[in-house]
Amino acid sequence: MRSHSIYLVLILIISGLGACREVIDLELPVDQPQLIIEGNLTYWADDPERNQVSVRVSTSGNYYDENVFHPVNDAILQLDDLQQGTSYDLSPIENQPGLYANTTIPLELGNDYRLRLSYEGNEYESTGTILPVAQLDSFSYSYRKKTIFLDEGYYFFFSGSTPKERGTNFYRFKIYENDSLYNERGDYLIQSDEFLQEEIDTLQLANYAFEVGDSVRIEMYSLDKNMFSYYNELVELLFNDGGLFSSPPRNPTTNIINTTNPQNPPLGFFQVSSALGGGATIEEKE
Amino acid sequence: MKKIYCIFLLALLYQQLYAQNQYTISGYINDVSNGEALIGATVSLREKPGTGTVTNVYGFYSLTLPQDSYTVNYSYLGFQTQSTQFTLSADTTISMELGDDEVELQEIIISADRPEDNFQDVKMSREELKIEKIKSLPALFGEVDVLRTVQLLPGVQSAGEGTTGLFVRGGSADQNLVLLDEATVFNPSHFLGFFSVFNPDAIKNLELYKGGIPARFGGRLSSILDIQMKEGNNKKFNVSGGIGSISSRLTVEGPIKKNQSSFILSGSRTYADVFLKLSNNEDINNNTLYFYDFNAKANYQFNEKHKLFISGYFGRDRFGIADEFGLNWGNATATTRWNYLISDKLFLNTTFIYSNFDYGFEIDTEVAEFTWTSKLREMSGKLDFNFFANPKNSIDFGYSVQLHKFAPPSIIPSGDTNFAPLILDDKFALEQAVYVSNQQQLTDRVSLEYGLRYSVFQQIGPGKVFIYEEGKPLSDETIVDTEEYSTGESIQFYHGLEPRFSARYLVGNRSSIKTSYNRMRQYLQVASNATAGLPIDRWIPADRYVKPLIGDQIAAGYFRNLASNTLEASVEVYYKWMQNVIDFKSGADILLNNNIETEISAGKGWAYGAEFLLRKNVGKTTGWVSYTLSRTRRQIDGINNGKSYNARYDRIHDISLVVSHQLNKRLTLSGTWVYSTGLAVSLPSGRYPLDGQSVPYYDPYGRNAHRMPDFHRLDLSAVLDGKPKEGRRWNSSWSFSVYNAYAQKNPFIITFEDLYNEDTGFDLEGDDTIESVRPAAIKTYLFSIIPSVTYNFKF
Repeated sequence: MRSHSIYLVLILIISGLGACREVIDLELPVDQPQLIIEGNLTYWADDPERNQVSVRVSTSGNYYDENVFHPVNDAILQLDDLQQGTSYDLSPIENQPGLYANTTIPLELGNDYRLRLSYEGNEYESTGTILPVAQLDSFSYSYRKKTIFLDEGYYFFFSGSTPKERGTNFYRFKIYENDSLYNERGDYLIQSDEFLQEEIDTLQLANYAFEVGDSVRIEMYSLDKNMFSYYNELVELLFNDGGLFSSPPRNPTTNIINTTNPQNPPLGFFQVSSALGGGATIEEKE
Repeated sequence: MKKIYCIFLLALLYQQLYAQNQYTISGYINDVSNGEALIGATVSLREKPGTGTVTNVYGFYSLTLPQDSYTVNYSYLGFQTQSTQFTLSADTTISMELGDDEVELQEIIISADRPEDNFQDVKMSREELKIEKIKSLPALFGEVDVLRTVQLLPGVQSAGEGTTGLFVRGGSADQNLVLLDEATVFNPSHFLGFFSVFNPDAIKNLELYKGGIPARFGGRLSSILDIQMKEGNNKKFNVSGGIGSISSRLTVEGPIKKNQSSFILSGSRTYADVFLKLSNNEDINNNTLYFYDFNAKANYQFNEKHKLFISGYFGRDRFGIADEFGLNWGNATATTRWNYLISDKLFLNTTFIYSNFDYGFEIDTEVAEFTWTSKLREMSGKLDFNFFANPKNSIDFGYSVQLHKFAPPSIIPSGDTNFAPLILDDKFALEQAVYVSNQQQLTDRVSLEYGLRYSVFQQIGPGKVFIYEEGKPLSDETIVDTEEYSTGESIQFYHGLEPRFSARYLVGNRSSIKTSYNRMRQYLQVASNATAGLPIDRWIPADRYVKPLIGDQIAAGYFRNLASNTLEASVEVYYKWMQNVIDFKSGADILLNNNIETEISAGKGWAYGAEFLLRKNVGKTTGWVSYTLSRTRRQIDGINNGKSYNARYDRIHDISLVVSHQLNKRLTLSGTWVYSTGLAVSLPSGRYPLDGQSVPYYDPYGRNAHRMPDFHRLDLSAVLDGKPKEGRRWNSSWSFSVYNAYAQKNPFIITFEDLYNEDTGFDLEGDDTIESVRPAAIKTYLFSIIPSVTYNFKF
C-alpha cells in the first residue's frame, strides 16, 4: 500500500499507452569506488544451529562495468554483545572473497549487537536489537481460480499474531521455490503491521501461484524501522523513473555510520533479525 | 507602508481637485456576432494619446473626462477598431459592439491604428491567449489543449512530454493558481496529466500572469492562470461540436433574452472504452477508461445595473479493470457572480465559489477488498470593486474569504478482517485577504500599477497538533504530547503583506521599459517529491510545522513594436526568491501519514532568467518565436547534503516556434516546434551488487546534476473550412494534426536496469532462457508520430 506500488501501476498504464522502450547510449559520470557493507545477524528461535553473523565487504565499480563486485579482504570486523559486554571476531571465509562470518557467537533474543569494521583508516559501526518475529500458527496454502490480477494456482497464507503492544512491527518474507529464492527487484516482501489487526487469520502472503509438486519454503525475518525503510528505499531505487512520478533517485539510507568521517557513510546495511521458517510441498486439494 | 498609502491618497485628491466639470462615459464592449463581453478591450482618446482605459472581465469600462469634444476609439485585437465622435457635456452611456476584421459596418470610422498594448500597457510578464488561436494549433490526438499551448509561452516549462503541469519561472506545478471563472481548479488534468480539463468550446479567454501580479490575485507563488468561460451567444441559438479520434464534443448556446441574457452548455467525452468493448478478449472488454467534461453557464440581466452569472464545471476520469479495480477522480466547481453597477464609476462584483476535487479507489479482489477516498474542498466569497476614478487612476479593491477542507486518504477495508481501517485526520483552514491597487497614469510617459494585499491564514479546528520533544528531530518516537482543538478554534495563524508594483516608461513612440516587483504568499501546497502531478497528490495547509511559502520576484523588460505595429518584440529578465520550499526525506511516506511534518525538510529556492519574444498577431501569417534562458535552483536541509542543486525542471535553453498561415479563405496551416535543454536528472556514477540485486550508485552531492538528452519536436496541423454556401447555417471544418512530425524519440524517462538478451521487453516470468545480462540505460519514449483528424461543425 505504499506509494511506490502506485507508481508501478502508473508505469504499467503508460506502457499500455503504446510507449516504447529502447536502450540509450548515455555517457555516465564516474565516481571513486565506494565501500559496501552487507551484514546479516540472524537468530533462529527454533533452530539455533542456523544462527549466524555474516558480513560481505566490497567496493563499487562503474555503472557499465560487467563485473562490479570488488571484494575487500583486508578489513577487520568485530561484533560486540552490548548486554554481555563480550566481543567476537568475524574472520574471512576461505574461497568466499569479501565474506566474513562467525557461526559460533551465542545470540540472545532482545540483546543489542554492535558491528565494528575497520578499513583503510576509517572505523564503521552499526547497532541493532534482535526483535521478536510474529507468532506463527501456520503457513497454509489453498487453490485459487484465475482472476484478472492473479494466475490460477496454490497461494500461501499466514495465520498467527503480531505483537502490536510493542508498536508497529516490520517483517521481511523470503520465499523459495525448490530451494531457489524469489529474488528479482519485484520480489521484495517487506511488510509493516501498521494496517493489520493483531490476530491474523489466513492473510495471503504473496502473489506467487504454485503448482502441485512445488516445494515451497517461507522465511520470516523481523526488521527494525531503519531496515524496513532501507528495503523500501532500495525497492524504490530499483524501480526509480528518475524523479518524474517517483522521487528523485537516492542511495538507500544506510544504518551504518562512519565514526571517523561521519560525512562519508558506507553503502549497505547491517540487519539484525530473528527469523522463523516454514513451508510445504504442494499436494492436490481444493 | 504608510508612505505608499499617503501617496496614493494624495494622487487621488489632486486629481479630484484639479478636475472640474467632469463627466463619465461608461458602457460595455461586446462582440457583435454573439454578444460575448470583450475582456481587456481598449478605450482611448484620439485627442489625448495615452489616456484611456480597458474593459474589465465583464466588458465594462468607465472614463471620466473634463467637458470637451472627443473622438473615442474602441479597439480589440483581431477586431475592427471603431470610433465615435461627440461632445461630452453630461454622463453618457456608450456600449459598443465590435466586429471581426471581415465584418463591414456602416457609420464607423475605420482606424488604421493597431493595439499598442505591448509597449503601452503597464502590465508585463503576462500572456493572453485567444481560444481561436489555441484551436488552430496542432494538438496531440487532435485534442485541443489549453495548458499544452500555455507551455509554448516563454517562461513556462513542462515536467516532460505529454504532461500538462506548468512550471512558471522556476516555480513548481502546485504554485500556479488555475482559475476557471474564479473557481480554483486543483487538478486541471485528465488521464494522469496527459490532457487538460478545459473544454476549448466552453472557454473564451485565458490570461497567464508570470510576474507583476495584480493585488487582486493571491494564494500562489508563481503564476495565475485566469480562464474565463464563454457566456453563450445572446443573439441566436447555436449548436457546435466536433468528432475526434479519441473524443467528441457538443455545445449548445443561445439567448435567454435576446441581446441581454444567454446560456451555454458544453460537454465532451472520450470514447476509448467504446473500442475496448469491441474486443473479444474478456480481459480487455471488461475495462473502463474514459473522462468527460461538462461546462454550463448562464447570465441574466435584471436591468442596466444588475447582472447575474452562474457557471459550473464538472469533470471526471474513470478507470476500471473489470469489477476488481476502480479509480476515479474529478473536479467540480460552481461560481455565482453578481455584477452591480453602483454608479457609472464604481463597479462591484460579488462572487460565491465552490470548488471540490476528490478521488477514490475501489479494490475488490480475493486478496484485498477496500475503498480509498480523499477530498479537497474550497468555499469562497469575494467582493471586488473597480473604481474608475478618472482617466489617470483606476482603483481596484476588495475582500475575499475562503474555507478550505483537506480530507486526506481514508481507507476502509471490507471483507478481509485482517486489515484495520486507516482514517487520517481532516484539516481545515480559513484564508482571508483584503487588497487595494491603483493603476495610475503619472505622466505622458510614466504609468504605474501599485497595490497591497494583506492575507491572513488560520488553520482551524477540529484538529490536533503533535508536540515533539524539543531539540530532537521530529519523528513518531519523539512525540511527547498531542494538543486537541475544537471546531473553529484557531490552531495556527499566519499573516503578511504582499506588495505589488509595476511601472512603465515610454521610450520614443514605439517602445517602453517596464519593471515590476511582487511578493506572493502561498498557504497550501502539494506534498510530493515527484515532478509530475498525479490525482493522488496530497494537498497540505500551512500548519504548526509547515510554514507558508513566500516568493519575491523582480522583473524588468524592454518592449518594442516593429513594422508599423504588426510585430511585437520584448525582452524580460527576472529574479525570484522562494522561502520555505519543502522537500521530503529519503523513503518518506507522504500519502498515508498523519504527521507528515516528520518527513519534511525545508529550505529555499531561487530562479532567474531572460525571456525573448517576437510575436506577430495580425495578417495572414501569425505566431511567435520565443527563447528562454533560465536557471532554477534549490537548497534544502538534508537534501544533496545541504548543497544547492538544480530543480528537476531546470532547463537552460527553451525555444518555441509557433506559426499559423492562412493560405486561402478555407485553409489554414500551422506548425509548432519546440527545443529545450534536457531535464536535470541524477545519473548513477557507479554500481554494486547487494542482496542479489544490481544497485546503481548515486553521488550524494549530485542531485539533478546531469541532463537528459535535449528535447525537440515538430507538430503540424491543417484546418480546412467547408465551402460556405449562401443561406445555409451549417458550417463545418476538418482539422488534421500530426504530432511529432519527424518521429523524434524523446526520452520520457530513463531507467537503469539489467538488460536481458539485449531485449528491453524481456519477460523474466516468461519461459525464455536468459542468455545474457548487462547493465543498461533504457529510455521510455511516449509518442512516435501521431496523426489525428477531427471534424467540427456549427449550425
